[in-house]
Amino acid sequence: MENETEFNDWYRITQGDEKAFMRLYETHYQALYSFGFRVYPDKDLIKDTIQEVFFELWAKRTELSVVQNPKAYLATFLKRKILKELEKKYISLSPEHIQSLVFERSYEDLLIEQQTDSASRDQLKKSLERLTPGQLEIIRLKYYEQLDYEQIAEQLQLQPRTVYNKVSEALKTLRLHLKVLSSLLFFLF
Amino acid sequence: MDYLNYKAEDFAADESFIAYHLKRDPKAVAFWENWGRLNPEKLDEIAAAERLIDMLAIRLAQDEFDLEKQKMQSFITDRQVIALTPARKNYYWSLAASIFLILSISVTFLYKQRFQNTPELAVEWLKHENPDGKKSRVRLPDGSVIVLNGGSTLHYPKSFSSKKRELKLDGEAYFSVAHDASRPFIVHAGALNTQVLGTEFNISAYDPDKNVSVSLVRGKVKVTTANDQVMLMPGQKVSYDASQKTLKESGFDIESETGWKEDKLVFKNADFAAVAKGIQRTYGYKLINQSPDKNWNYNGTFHQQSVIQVIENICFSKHLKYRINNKIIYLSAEK
Repeated sequence: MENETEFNDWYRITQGDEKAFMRLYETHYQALYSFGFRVYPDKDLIKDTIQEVFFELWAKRTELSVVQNPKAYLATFLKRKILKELEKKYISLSPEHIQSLVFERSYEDLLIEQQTDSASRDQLKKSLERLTPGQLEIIRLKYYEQLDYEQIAEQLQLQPRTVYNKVSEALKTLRLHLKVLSSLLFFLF
Repeated sequence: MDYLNYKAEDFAADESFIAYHLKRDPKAVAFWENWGRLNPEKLDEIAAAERLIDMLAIRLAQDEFDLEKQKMQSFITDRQVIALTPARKNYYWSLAASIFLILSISVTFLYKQRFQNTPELAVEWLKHENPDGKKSRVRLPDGSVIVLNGGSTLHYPKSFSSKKRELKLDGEAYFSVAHDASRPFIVHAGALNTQVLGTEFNISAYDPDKNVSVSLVRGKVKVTTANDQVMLMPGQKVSYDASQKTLKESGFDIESETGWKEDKLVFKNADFAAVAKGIQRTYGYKLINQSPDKNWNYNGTFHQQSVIQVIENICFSKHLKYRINNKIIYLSAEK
């Protein structure tokens, strides 16, 4: 049903329907941002490139061909554009070298990169070190891949309730550690 | 599930709470917004849960996303408006303005009264403070409701005395006062004291050293200063000029006076300073005019629009361009 709406929306966009276009934007933005950030974790670059993807899509709306999977289409489009931007940014590097820059970071690294100031980065880094690799993997599946408990349970051969408990446990550890750190910081300043 | 016993980590691990925070399910959004309103004591845990989710998901913060979305929206709409007929927009504005005017006609009164500006002692006072860009609704113990504008502070006692209901305002607020003839409702704002007996009115006292005004929408009000007093009729407004220490009566345009509480930003023959003030209060953005055009006489009505849309409209009609840096908007002449 959802896919059908999306399919119809795609057609409406080719006919110049603004509302359908904004629906597409709203539906896919955060997933694209998350994907883009994994390709290359530079917030401003990703924001600007996503806008360009949609500007271009709107500008060429009448020439768009039918797309079965808009999500995959947009992601491919975005990745190509990010690579182009990186080629401009690192003009002296070869395309092979630039290819080696992308998709390089682990989940923890991305979370840390996402923090904008160095104090929060340090805090988060220290807190994430408190988690076991197993906890970190479950957190990644839950908040990054955004799977539901059933899906994670299936993948890890656990009961959904166990997965939930593990997530909540990991969050508690993180929260308590962050609290201690931020109260220390507060005390220092 | 007993959410009342939940701690931040429990909320943050809850499927429906995540769907609410990531805005993935309108039902979950409606449920949790309502739940949060009903259980304000859990707001700290909820805020901590939201921070945890934000920290672990890779996504653009909601306010930044909203800004991006608005840019995209104005990109596609502006293109079309300019391509069709540039005058169409202005036509919409004037149409919208007249409709709002008809909808919001109401009444104002001011009574005279001698009033000693001495709040009772031994009362515990509370403070409700809004930064620029934030509006809020305050419900008082007597049932009165106050809509407090951005950049404004309301001081009020924890409980009212048996003789009167007294408050102090810095900034701007719209009052809907519960009727209680035995306990007059008194608002102190700068040099003005406004006493009411169940009514609706707007007080603007952003700059009490220069100007304070009261606009009455419905009911009975009397306004006094140390040595003067005025009675207003419905739809009238009284302004106090602090340098002259005089009171001046006038009519008022209900929309430009009280539109802010409906999230409307209204400019009528506004000079640059008035436009800049409106934008700062509503959105928390500072406006700096670097163009040679200093004599503004701007008209426009905006309803729940983003700061970008407002600025783009202003720039469009005044042939300016803009640049935003650090919550400061710089306007300069279009080349």
